[in-house]
Amino acid sequence: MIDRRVRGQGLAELALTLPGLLLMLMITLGIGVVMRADAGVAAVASEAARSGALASDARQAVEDAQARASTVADGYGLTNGSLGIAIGTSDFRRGGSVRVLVTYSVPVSSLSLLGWANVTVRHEAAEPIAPNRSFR
Amino acid sequence: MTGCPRRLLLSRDRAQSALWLVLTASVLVLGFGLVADGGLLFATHRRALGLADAAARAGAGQVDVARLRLDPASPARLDPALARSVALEFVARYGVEASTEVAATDEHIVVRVHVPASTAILHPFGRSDIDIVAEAEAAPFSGVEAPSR
Repeated sequence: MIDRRVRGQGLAELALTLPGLLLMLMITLGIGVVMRADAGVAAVASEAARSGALASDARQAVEDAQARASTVADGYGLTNGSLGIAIGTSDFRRGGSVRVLVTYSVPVSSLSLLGWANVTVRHEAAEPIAPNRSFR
Repeated sequence: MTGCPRRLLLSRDRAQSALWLVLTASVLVLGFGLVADGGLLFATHRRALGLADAAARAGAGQVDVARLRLDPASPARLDPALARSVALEFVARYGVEASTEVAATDEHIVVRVHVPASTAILHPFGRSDIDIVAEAEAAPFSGVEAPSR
């Protein structure tokens, strides 16, 4: 009788802690997915800003930054269509800077227990334009 | 005593179960805290490093033009005071909460950016703010080709 109750206690403990353990595992995996996307978004922002800062004029800066952002985003697997890129070239001049803001919605819904979660990652980067450079 | 009374044994079992549950829950929360706050710290470090890199490049653009005109064949040299002020201004403009240390010579500039990261889960364990430090170095370059590696 007591043995059976002890076995029941073990099952009850397992039933209580297993959901917590599974949730913890899912959250850990979810954080991993978000961190990977965060690294990608940061790289997209800095690479796009760098590319824009090397262009010959503001219009070209936008085109170059867009193209570079797409290439880097593809490389990081940021391909669910939610990538948003805003390129600021209002300070495009010698000694000025190019700013890029990148946002991306991370699809953590692929992890079944975190189906309710929707995480948007954003990174902003600014890149200086060399004060003595030439513009073609 | 030939054996424990059944009521005493059951109450001891319940206490054991509750203790185990509390310990497991604590470990779960601590583990989650380490993962979540670790991720936050990595993200902050990435931001600080990007800021330090860009500020160092902004500073490294401040070439001593007068010196270069005197001897165009010599390598480009920095105006250290100007490079320092430009790097500081860059961080102040784009890294609102960051503090900066800049060391500049006429050959290169080193920018060290400190960004405070607020922990979400480890706060009760006495680590509310962690100072994230990132350092970047840049050197001036002149010419029409890409810099040599």
